[in-house]
Amino acid sequence: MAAIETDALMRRYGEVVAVDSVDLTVEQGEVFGFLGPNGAGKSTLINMLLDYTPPTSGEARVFGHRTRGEAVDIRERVGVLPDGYQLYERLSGRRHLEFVAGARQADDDPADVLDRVGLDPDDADRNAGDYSKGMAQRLVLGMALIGQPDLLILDEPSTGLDPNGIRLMRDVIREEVDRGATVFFSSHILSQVEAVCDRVGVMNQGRLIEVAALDEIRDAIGVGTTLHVTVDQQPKLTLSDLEAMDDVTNAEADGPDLTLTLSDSTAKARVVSRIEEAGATVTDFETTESSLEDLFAELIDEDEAVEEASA
Amino acid sequence: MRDRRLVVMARKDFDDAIRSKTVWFISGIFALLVVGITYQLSQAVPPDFPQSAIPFVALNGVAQWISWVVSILSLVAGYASVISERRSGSMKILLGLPFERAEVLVGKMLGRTAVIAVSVAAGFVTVALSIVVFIGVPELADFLWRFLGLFFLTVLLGAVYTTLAVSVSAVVSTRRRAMLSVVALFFITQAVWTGFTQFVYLFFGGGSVPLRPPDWYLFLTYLAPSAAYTRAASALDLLVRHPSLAIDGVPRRAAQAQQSGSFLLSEYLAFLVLILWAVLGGLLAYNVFRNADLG
Repeated sequence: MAAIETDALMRRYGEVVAVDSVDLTVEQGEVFGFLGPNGAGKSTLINMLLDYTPPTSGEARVFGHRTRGEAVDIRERVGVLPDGYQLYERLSGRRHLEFVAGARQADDDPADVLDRVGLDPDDADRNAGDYSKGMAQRLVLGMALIGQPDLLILDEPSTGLDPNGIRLMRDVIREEVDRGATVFFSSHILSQVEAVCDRVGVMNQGRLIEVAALDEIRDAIGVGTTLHVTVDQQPKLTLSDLEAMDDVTNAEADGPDLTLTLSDSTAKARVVSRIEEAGATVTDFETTESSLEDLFAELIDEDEAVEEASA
Repeated sequence: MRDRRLVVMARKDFDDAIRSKTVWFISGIFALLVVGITYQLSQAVPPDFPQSAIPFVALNGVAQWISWVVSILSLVAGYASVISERRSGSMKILLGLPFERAEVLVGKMLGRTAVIAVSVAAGFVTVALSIVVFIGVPELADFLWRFLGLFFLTVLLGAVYTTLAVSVSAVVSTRRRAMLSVVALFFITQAVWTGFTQFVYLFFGGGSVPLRPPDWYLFLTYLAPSAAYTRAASALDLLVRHPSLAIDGVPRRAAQAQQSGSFLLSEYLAFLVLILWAVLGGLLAYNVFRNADLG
């Protein structure tokens, strides 16, 4: 049984289609990164998974439970860090944790939870109305961990966190996965997804335009590591010879400068020695790792080009 | 297991709402008002009035005002309960937990009612103290059951208005609309209800309401929650018959209802009417709220 499964899930707001017929499956035990620019429909889809928002059509299931009608069964197994939440200003951080433990009928020790998310016990006794965004985010992460949920849904979890907080978030996600939990988290900041995710789904304008493992996406789009090589003379091989090598997806030449796209960055040593074997001396070389940002921009450009072509 | 969740929900809401300064501000005014009324009554009692009955008169006098204060207090404490959580996003935390939407509503109704109960209890302690100070120690056997009876009935009235306020809060889409709606609810149930019943009489009774209107007409006037509260309160036998109080002590409507013997005007039915307001209001609200987009 999949952790998350959606069938032609759709949500309209008047004329606007926030989520457009999305079919998505997230298996148990994986860390799934849910990407897309702000307004792509990520939060609306998450809202439907938790039954905050009823779908216009289609269906979603979490651990086999339908979101419409079985939301409580779902929420019993899911810890949530929602987007755009607010704490109860008049209640202390500790009272928040106690409330969640009560609702989940879990016996987690608030002190342990505070420790895991790096909140000071003194701060836990203050009213949540006085919390900074970062403290609030840590508290809500702690609340999501209570009761050892089988699935963590984290919507833009790095919002308001400093680099320390982001590192902590990453560590917590790893700990939870090691425990056997599934993690589904959305972000528009891609480097954070890159660091922890097994697979990613990319949303744009309500549609799920790609679901794949990160390296598959790199291969598919042909961006990965870029190797820039400068040679002193023309080597005795053609660009096609270079492209025929393993892990080389593209080769271009501009005078003495060669640009090669590699799907595996370790291929660069082989490429350099191949060029030198062919009689040229490499006078300079440099590699640039294309970030997920590039992948992402490329995906969205492609998607929008397709849209325009079909329109 | 499900009951326990309801308790968790209600307790959270109680802890949250009881820290609201507005509730305590209104409760303070309530207490002051009670002291003032009891003092006034203690001064206004005619010299030949039986001493033992004065505390009942005081209770009855207070009861008239309580229905106003408690309805305002409950509406104020409840109108934002759901909509502000929706607007601020704390509803997302709430519904990330294993609560049914019905449990969220009922939990809030219970939690806020508990807050009102605390406030009413504080008010009633003030009533008891004021009576002892301004009037004298009442005969406990006669006084206590009436006092406690009125207390529970007042908490029930508070529960009804709280339920209505939470219901309004669950169906509107902005805080402002919630506020306007409870203000409207207050005026309809408290101020213009008799105007409404007179209008009905114009159609079905033919003309203006006579001095001794038919039972069905009185029944209509007693359908408003606060009127039902006063009708039910008469089961506590607070109305003292005495020549000097013939008009002020026992209003004409109450006297007629008391003597009528019709089931339509019985205290039991008034009690049921109160409960019906809460149940119907809650069900209507749930019907909208269960499918609302809370994202």
